[in-house]
Amino acid sequence: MEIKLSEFSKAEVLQYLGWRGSEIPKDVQNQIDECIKITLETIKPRWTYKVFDIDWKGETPVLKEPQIALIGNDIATMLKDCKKCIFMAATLGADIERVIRMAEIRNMSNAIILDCCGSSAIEAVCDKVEEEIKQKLNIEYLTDRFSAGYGDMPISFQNEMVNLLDTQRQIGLMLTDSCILTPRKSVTAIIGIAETKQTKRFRGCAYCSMFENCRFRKAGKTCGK
Amino acid sequence: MENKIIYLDGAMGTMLQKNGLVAGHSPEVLCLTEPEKIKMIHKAYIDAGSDIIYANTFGANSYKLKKSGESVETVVKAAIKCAKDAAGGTNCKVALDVGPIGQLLEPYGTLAFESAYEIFKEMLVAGESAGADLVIFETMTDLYEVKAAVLAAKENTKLPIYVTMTFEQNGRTFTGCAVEAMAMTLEGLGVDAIGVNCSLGPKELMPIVERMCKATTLPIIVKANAGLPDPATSKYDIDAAEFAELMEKYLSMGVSILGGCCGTTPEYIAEIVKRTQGKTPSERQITRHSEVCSPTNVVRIDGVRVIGERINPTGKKRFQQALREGDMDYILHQAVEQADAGAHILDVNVGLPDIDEAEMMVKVVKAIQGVTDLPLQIDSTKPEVIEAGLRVVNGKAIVNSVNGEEEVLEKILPIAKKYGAAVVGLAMDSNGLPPTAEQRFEIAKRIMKKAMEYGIPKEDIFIDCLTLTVSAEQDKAVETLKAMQMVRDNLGLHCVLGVSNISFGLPCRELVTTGFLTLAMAHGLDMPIINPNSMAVMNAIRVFNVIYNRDKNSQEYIEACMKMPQQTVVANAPQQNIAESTDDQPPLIRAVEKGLKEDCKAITQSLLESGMTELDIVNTLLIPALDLVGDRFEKGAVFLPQLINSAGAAQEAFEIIKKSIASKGAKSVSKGKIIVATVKGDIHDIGKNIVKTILENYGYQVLDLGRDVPIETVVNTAIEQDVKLIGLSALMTTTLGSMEQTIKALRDANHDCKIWVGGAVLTPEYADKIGADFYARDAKESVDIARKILG
Repeated sequence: MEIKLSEFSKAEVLQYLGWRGSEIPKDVQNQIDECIKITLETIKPRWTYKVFDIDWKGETPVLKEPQIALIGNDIATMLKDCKKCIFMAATLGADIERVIRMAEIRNMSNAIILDCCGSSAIEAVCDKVEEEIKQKLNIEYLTDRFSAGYGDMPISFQNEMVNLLDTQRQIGLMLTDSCILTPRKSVTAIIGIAETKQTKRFRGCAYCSMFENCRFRKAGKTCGK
Repeated sequence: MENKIIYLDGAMGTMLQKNGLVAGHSPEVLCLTEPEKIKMIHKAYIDAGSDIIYANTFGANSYKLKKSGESVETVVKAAIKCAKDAAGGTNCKVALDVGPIGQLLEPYGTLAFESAYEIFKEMLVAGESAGADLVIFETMTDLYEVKAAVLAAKENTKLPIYVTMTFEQNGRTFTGCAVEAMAMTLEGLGVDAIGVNCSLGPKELMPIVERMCKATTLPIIVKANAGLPDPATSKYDIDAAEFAELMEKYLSMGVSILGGCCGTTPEYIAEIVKRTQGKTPSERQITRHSEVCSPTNVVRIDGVRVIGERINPTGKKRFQQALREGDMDYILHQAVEQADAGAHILDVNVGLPDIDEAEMMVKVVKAIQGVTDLPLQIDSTKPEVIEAGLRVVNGKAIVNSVNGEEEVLEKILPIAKKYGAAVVGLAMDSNGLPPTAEQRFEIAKRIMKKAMEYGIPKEDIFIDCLTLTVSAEQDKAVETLKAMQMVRDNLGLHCVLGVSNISFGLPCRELVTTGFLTLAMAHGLDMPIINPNSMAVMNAIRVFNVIYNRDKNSQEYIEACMKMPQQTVVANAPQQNIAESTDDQPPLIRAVEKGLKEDCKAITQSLLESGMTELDIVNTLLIPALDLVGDRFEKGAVFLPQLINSAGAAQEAFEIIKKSIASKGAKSVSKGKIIVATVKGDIHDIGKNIVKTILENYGYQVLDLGRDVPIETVVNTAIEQDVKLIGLSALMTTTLGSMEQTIKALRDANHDCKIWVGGAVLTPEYADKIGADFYARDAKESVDIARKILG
């Protein structure tokens, strides 16, 4: 399915760019605004999702059909109040990547800004998708979004995500041998459908296994995942 | 054209579900575990009236079967046997069904074109030997992957080839491939039928198929879904009767091969057969055009189309240096600059006596395709270079060139035909360039006849009537004009011409070049090979389009004029604030600090003219400027975009300095060679590229091996080029292993070098653990390391 994105957070872009509150000259402001505009014009966000029943086997959440265990303590904790969960995948498509590559040739700093815009845009797409699913399925409470590679869920679980969602056929999303999603500006995530209000826990860097040591994060950036 | 309807089958996946067969990772393996049930499904389709059934081999490639533990040969053999057993005693044919590999190809993924070819080859050879009657590549979204597949089929089997791709409602595939680009490229590669399958129902596919019907003379396949699925239940919304009713409409569009995809069952096929049996698909009227394309960009030659000439080392020392050093960025810069200036097609020539031209052609073609969507013209006289280039082109290219020599024609025309390329014929032969227009016309005629004998359609033949410099042979320029007119009027072919030759040796060359260009266009030249960065040249074309009533209401001309004054300012005048600044910093340092590219260029140029040496400019101005910005960056007074803007400005200054040095034939001002690479398996390269930009600014020669770099490439380059400092980058925990292996391989090779590493997931401790000599937090620290090791 397609989805239209009309904006995303500039503050987040600045954060990814490692901005620490210095004065931003007007030409650089304009440069960033222009990159945001180009990003919105270039991206072709697509998404897909599936709802699975959870079969709790002791402490381990297992999908009912097909029987696939969700690996790790962190995902079990997140889903503890849930009998169902949503698998979702979203991508900005490959066009933005070509635009970034072209920018690398023309003007490297535009490329970096565009890259950060892409990271911010895919998060915004996920937020929007989540909202849409919520409305469509008439769900009140959702848990956070949890991706393979967060906490103690191995990144190799991406294989299951991509397979179960048939992302290649649905939205043109594939995995490399090292479990990197391609096109690069893409996300897969698990969201629990809960009966009670959920506290925000698992979202982004805070629950990444690299949290302690991630230099990207320390510099105020993210790896875009 | 095919005049009888051919019926395909319907969905396999839908039927597996209906029969309670749960598909795990590889539904193809069911051919081994549940052959009777698979046979039953095939049988049901044959009974419904299918003339061709698809064996259950869609994902039976080595990548997708990896987890199942079964070999491609075993699964393909079993699947073909199921289908053949079911078809026994009928006229039904069995197709080897081949879907996408499941990994994204370069440049946006990591799967190399050549690896994709091997994966397909394995399936195809197994399929043919198991007795498949034809191969169908289906549900494809990447034209490059399809090209690898088709070449693998053509070069290793005799199977007829059908190809269907999956389009979205906007008429493009997920990777952006347009209907017309697909049709043009695959017809050129010599497949037997093309069409669409999956993603949409028969109603939604209609406008897409309509476009395809106009774009090719090949038989057309429609294998639609049973409407659109309900996302919650995955049920499709069209029943068999309605499906058949809609599918019947395709006959009047001239579609002759019908079937069903997701959600369809034997009932759907039976309905189609019932409704359409005995009917005849309409004849299609197709107008042929001269066109070339990349997957996303179709260029029709129905007006003046500019072929950019700048990717060519002939007479350009700086370009030659870039080729020798493998400086891909310089070459890509030429590509992007020409695209921005309005080129429609890019000529690619990498001929230098001391490099492996074929290998370089592949590298450059692939790299250019990663950054622009312009169709390419492969420029070489060597058959092996032309073939290497055409093979990796994504889309339909032009070969530049053949000439009237029998031997040349016999060698190169079959290559152009094989890859479906258009071809430029030079109106000369073994006796050289004939003096008169009539003689050149005769050669053009001969080339045309020969090319058509080889099966190259007339609209894919272009003629270059050639011009010498008017300063040497003043009476011959008019002969070129006359010859072009004859080629256009009497042969009906498009004319290509390298225009700039005309002015060689004369002062104010641009005046002569543009004057001749205008005359040439009036005499039939519509594919000038020129420098699109020259505003005078592009303006001459704009004016021509106005006068010949092609630019309706002078719209493009007016738009270009509105932009012109601005362009002049940007191109020539340094921004005034620098000169007027009261700051006591030298202007070049100020310009770098502010990231003002044009100022940096202009100031550097004038410093060189005033007699300052290249080295002095680098050491006393550029490097201190970069240090200054680096310090401010460390303190948080400026942030990343500003740091990189400064680096970009300094790079402009360096380009001028490099050019100046190259023109004197002196050695470049390199402070030493450094390798940078993003390790095998990782494709995040923006961090590495930042490091590279900054290192280059400090005067180091950076050999950028790119991303997803095989271990042996790092080791071999380090040894061959004797590089003492190597930087490796990785962004994923999953690729740290390959970083460690790369370091180990370098150590095992006993090459004397220092290694530094960086990337989001690395820490100084981990860097130490995997045997790196240094860890760098950012580009600034990388420079500190380089200074320590190389000075």
